[in-house]
Amino acid sequence: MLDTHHTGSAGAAHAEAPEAHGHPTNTGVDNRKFAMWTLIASECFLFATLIGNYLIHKNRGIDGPKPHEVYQIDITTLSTFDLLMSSVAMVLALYYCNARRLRLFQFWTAVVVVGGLIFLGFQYVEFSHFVLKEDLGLSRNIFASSFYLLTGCHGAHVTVGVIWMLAILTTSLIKGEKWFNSTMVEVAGLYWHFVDVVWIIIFTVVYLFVYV
Amino acid sequence: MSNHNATAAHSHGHGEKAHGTVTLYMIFAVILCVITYFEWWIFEHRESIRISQRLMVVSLLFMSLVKFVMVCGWYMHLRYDHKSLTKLFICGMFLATATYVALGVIVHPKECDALKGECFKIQEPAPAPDTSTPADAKPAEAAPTAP
Repeated sequence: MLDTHHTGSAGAAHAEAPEAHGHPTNTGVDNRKFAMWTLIASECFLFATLIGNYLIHKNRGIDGPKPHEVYQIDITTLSTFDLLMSSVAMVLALYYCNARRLRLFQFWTAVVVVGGLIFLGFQYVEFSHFVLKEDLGLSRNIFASSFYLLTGCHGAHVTVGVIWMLAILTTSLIKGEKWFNSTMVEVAGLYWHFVDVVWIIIFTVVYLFVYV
Repeated sequence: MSNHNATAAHSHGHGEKAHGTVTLYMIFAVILCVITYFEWWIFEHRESIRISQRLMVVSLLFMSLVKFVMVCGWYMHLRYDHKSLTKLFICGMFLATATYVALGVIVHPKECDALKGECFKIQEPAPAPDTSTPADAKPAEAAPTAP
C-alpha cells in the first residue's frame, strides 16, 4: 500500500517543512529511517570486528603497561552515565518535536549536544592520561593500537552525532516554528542511541572485563 | 493526513504502535543509571564480596544485555516500529556475533582458557643451544653406518 502520510513522523495536521515528508514506500517506513537502520546493522558488524580485535590483542602487548594498569574505571563509569543521560535527552527531544513544543525540543537537543561534548571531554582526558602519564601512545604496543582503534572509532561516531545534533539545533533556532522535521530528528536520534548502545557494550567488555 | 492531536503518543505507520511517555522514559533512565551503578559496584567490590570471575562475567553481561534491550526497544522505538526494522537489526547483530565468534575461533589458541585469564601469555624464548665445544669434550660418536 502506498501511503505518503505514514512516512511523515509528525503525522499531525500541522504544516511541516516540505523535506519532512518522505517518499511513498511499500512498507510505510520512511526511506531515511530504513536507511539509518541499514547503516546501524552494518555498523554492528564494524564494531564487532573492532571489539574482537581488541579482545584478541589486549594481553599481547610485549612492551608498555597492561590494560588493568592504566584504566580508570571511575572516570569511564561517569562518562557512561553521561552518554546514557544524553540518550534520555535525545528521546525527550524527539518527544517534544513530535509534540511541537519548540522550546523544550531545543532545550533537550542542546542537552544532547552538551552530553556528547562532555563525553568527548572524558575521552580526551583518558587519552591524555594514557599518553602523558602512562606513556601509552598509539604505537606503543598492540594493546594500545587496538584500544585506540576501538574507542577512537566510537569517539569519531560521537563527534559526528554531536555535529549532526548541532546542525539540527541551529536549523530549528533559525527557522523556529516553521521547522519541525520529526523524521530527521528521529533518524538522528536512532544514530545517537546506537552510539550509546555500542558504548554500553564497550564499557562492559573492554573496561569491566579488564581482569578477564 | 490524520487530524489527531500532535503528541508523541501517536502512530507512525503500518505496524507501529504509540510511543512511550515522558514518565516511562524517565523511569527507564533511572533503571539504566541504577544498573550502571551496580556494574561499577560489582567491579569495584569483586574481591570483598568474593564473587567468582565466572559469576561476575555472567552478571555483568546480563546487566549489559538488559541495558541494550531497554535502549533498543524503547529509546530507539523498535518495540513500537515496523517489524521489518527489528528483523534488519537482528540480522546485523547476528552477522556481527558470527563474525566475532569466527574471529575468536580462528585466532584463539586451543589451550587458551579465557575465564582464567591465561590467554596469550608471552612465551619465554627457549635458551639457545650451547654451540661451544670445549677442548676436553669427547668427539661425538660417529653415527653407525649401515652395513
